[in-house]
Amino acid sequence: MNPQVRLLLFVTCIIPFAAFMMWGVFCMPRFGSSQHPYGDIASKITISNLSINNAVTAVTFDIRGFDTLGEEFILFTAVVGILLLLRLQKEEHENASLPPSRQNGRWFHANYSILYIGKRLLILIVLYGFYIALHTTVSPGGGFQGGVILSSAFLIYMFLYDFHAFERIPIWLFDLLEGAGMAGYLICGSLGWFTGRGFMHNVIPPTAKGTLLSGGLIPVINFSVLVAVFAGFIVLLIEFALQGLLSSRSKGAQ
Amino acid sequence: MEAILQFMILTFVACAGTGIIFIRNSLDQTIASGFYGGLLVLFFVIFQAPDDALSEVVINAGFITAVILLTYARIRRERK
Repeated sequence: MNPQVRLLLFVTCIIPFAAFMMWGVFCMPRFGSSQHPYGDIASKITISNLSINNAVTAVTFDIRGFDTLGEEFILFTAVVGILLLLRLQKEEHENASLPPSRQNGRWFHANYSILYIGKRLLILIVLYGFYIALHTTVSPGGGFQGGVILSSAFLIYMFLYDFHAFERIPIWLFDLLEGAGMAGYLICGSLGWFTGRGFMHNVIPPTAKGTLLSGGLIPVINFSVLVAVFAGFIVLLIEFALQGLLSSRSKGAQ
Repeated sequence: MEAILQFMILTFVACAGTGIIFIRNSLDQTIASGFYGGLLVLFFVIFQAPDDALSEVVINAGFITAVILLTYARIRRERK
């Protein structure tokens, strides 16, 4: 494809896109105005139909339906891509099986004061991760944020105590958890189809208001998102750490 | 009052974002972008999007810096 054809293709694509974009932008409610048609509808459905308090959760896990599927698969695709790019090559396998050299075996010794604070923060971070994930129906947060916080607890553990912890934990388990979380999400979402409604239709009638389990199917979907995100980020972390460590074990570095 | 806060945080975010591009040392840039993430958290809170603020703070504090530093460590060793 020569540059002129490419330019022509670009221009023919960008003109309709720009036109629709302008149309959309100029028809938006003004910044800071009190008239927001979608916002009003969403908060009405959130309170009366779903009986939960966090409108953001209601929009992502119920009202928006199929669009959230794409959002969930962004992380999944990113993890798969990184697994593909950073997988151990043939010569790297040999290096990875070498014992860690003495000076590089431990990258650093955690300072005593850091250890003192970090040890106490670690348990708080785990608790906070569960709190954020479970309180998705009543306060800001959700499975995604909670999952990232929980997996960052593992990061802190690695930096505080033992940088090689990631080599001992089984990566296949987290691959499996990631897939299980995504499968749970898909199954919960497609339950709506069996009742003749759209994707992610809330099949369990929401009852109690303002509790952790209100919102029918939403807590279940939220839990599967938590599992998928937690496992996905752990897999990312292991891959990056393994690559970071590998070059310290090549034969030249010994 | 709210308008002043919004104007201030927009200016901060714009200035910091432009400033980070002009840092040439990649290690400095990584650390600066961590602080930039903190600024974005404030930005989301002021514009009443606590959900996004939470996502931003966990991704930025927990992961972006760590992943970039790990990559940096690998690349620097490779160069030696």
